[in-house]
Amino acid sequence: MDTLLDFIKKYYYWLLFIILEVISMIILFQNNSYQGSVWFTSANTVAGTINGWYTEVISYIQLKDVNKQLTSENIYLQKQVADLRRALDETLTETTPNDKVIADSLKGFKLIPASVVSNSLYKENNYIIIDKGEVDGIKTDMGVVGGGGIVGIVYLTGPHYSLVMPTININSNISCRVRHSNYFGYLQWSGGSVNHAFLNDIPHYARVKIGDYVETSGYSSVFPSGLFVGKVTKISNAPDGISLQLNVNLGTDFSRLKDVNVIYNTCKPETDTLRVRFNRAGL
Amino acid sequence: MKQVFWTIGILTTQILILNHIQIYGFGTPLACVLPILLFPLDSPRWQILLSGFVIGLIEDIFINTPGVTAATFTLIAMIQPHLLKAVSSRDNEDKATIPSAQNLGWASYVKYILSACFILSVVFFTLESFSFFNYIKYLLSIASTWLMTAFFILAIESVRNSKA
Repeated sequence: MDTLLDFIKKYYYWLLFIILEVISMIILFQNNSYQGSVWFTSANTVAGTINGWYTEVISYIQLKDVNKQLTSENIYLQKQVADLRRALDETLTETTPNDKVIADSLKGFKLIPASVVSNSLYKENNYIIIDKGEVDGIKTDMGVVGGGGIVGIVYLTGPHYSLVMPTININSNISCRVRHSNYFGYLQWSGGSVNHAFLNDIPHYARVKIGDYVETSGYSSVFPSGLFVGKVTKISNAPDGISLQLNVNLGTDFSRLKDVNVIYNTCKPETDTLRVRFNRAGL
Repeated sequence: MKQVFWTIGILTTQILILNHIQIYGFGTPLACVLPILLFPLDSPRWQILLSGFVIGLIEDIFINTPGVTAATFTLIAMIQPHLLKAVSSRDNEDKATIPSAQNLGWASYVKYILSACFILSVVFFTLESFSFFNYIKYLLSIASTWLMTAFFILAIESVRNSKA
């Protein structure tokens, strides 16, 4: 008995080492594919707040650049408005239905503005943390868009922060189509450059050109249709040999992502209920 | 007590500055391992192990790698006394002194840091790559994290050394 106690006393640290490693492994495997608790990610309130401070300082430093960019954008937009107004005046004399068309396309969608407090670019399971959570009405499976185009889908929510799975995550899968054609496929990312993703499952007979715009298809009820995703830069055969694979240059610059909007589809509960009923009916 | 302040200081630097450094998207310097490497030879093993685990877990929460850094730092804490023993050439060395370039000599200290950082990078990326494996990215990440971590730790040491 004494020998055993001596042995434990002498080598107790091995036991501690094994216990700590086992705890680490449990945390690792439970959280590996984002399935785990939000507390072990930076979407928890403490880490979110600290990362928020960091982002505030950085945004402050970058304000000058942002201002310049906004000013030039403003000038460009003002010019565009003037041009469009002139064109509109020339072509239409009666009351235009345009306002109604725009309102219709966003009908059923509300935008919740949010700021990015932390994001990763160098992993396969990239993530983005935004400073809005359940309290602000964020729920999982909501779409997130930025100035450059779509950003991703809300994956986990905390009370004040949420974790977004961006398009540059190997598990991301968003239904998209090539603008002005009805061919649609799935936008996927396979690691590497954060500016490029692939649009898969486009049929061979689809007439797609380099430079075509890729936009959301609107089939998933997460995003409304027609939101800009990126531009086609290369067309090649998919590894399965039966479809095309398009290289898409993403519109969103993930390395400089700051302000985003979360899209709240007010019709989603209704469409989800319909889907559940359909599944239950076994049709 | 001084050590606790050091640890908090380095963790803050890690979270606010080093976590945002990514060379071509591959590696991030993990200099917050430094407090573990600074334990004197006669420190109780449980103290080193627990510090490793806790520092690792805090870093994990900030870089969203749950469990990976905790497991890596615990392992580093386990082998730290052996690494230190291997590089300290003088047997009559005072076991209570904190390992530094001054007591070990620069050559031994660099060897100590480089070997510890190498093991750290290899273990970290091996654990992290469980979900997805890309051979080239794996090697590049190990190399960049290894060198950057060692670089930052040696930079901190040279500042400490010039003050002493």
